[in-house]
Amino acid sequence: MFGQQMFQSRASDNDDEINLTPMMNLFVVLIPFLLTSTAFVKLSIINAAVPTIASPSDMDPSQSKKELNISIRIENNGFFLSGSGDNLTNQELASVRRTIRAKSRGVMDYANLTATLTSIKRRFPKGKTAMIFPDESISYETIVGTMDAARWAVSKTGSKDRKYLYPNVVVTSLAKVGQ
Amino acid sequence: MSMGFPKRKEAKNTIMLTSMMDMFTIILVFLLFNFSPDEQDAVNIPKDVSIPSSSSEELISEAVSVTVSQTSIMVDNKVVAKIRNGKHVQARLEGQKIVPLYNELLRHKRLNKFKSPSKQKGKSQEEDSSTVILLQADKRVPFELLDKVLKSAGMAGFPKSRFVVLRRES
Repeated sequence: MFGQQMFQSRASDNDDEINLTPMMNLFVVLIPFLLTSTAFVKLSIINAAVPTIASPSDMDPSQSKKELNISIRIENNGFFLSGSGDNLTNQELASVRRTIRAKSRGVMDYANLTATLTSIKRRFPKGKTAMIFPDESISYETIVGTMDAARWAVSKTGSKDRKYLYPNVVVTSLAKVGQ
Repeated sequence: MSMGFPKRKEAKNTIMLTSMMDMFTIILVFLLFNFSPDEQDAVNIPKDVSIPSSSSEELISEAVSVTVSQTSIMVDNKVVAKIRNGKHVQARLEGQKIVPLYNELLRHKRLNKFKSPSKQKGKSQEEDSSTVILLQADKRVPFELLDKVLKSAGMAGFPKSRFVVLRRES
């Protein structure tokens, strides 16, 4: 009689469950702790500089080999590219002068900029610096977007091949006459 | 016949915890994967500043933080100048130099609080954070204002800047 009762109760109430309460307690403590200390927004940085006056001793003689540094002027109606470099001819410098029109006023064509810079980089592989000259009204977002477009090259297949274009950035304004 | 409430049916008071445990396990694993406690210690972005997103993958590091929102310029969370209409600085200007910002950065330069010998040991001049500002600017700020901030920092001895951006996963 007793044995039968026990068997019945086990079958109906399912008493052989694991006691989950201590584990639950642990989870309840761990989850709020992790929630408060987890960074859901990941931050990173872009290194930039303002132009400084360099003394001649700072110049690296190895840099003087056909090194082309690109200048990007940002205006509301598009990007204006030009090049600079010590040992380059005027003809070579003129060949990199481009204009990339904005899609509409204030909406920049970043993909076109990356493609253009990739083709320039292919012709002049040396040089890592992009001088960015934004117009006064250009927003910070557009400047960061331009730096992004000038950072990574795009391969012919369209996917990023993780090659650097011009990762060193100098941001400054164009000097105005009379200032 | 009693008029009281009918007696509640006897039930065993155990809650089924298994499904809740499953959920907690999934959440715990997800949170452990995303756990990165030290990353954001260096910056404290105010709520009214929405920083732009970028494909840059460089990790954030410590430096003097300069925040440019639509209403004010701050150095390490201390307001040094107010901004009107999102671009006009309401402070003394000397050409391109924002004088209160310049003075505050100069004070930081003198304190040189980030140049402890233990931290800087073995680092190159380029990584030296004593000449770098951590710029957290709102994405709508025009370059007209940003230029003044960068030039003031440059004049105060901080020619390099690190723009703080949201990492865009590509």
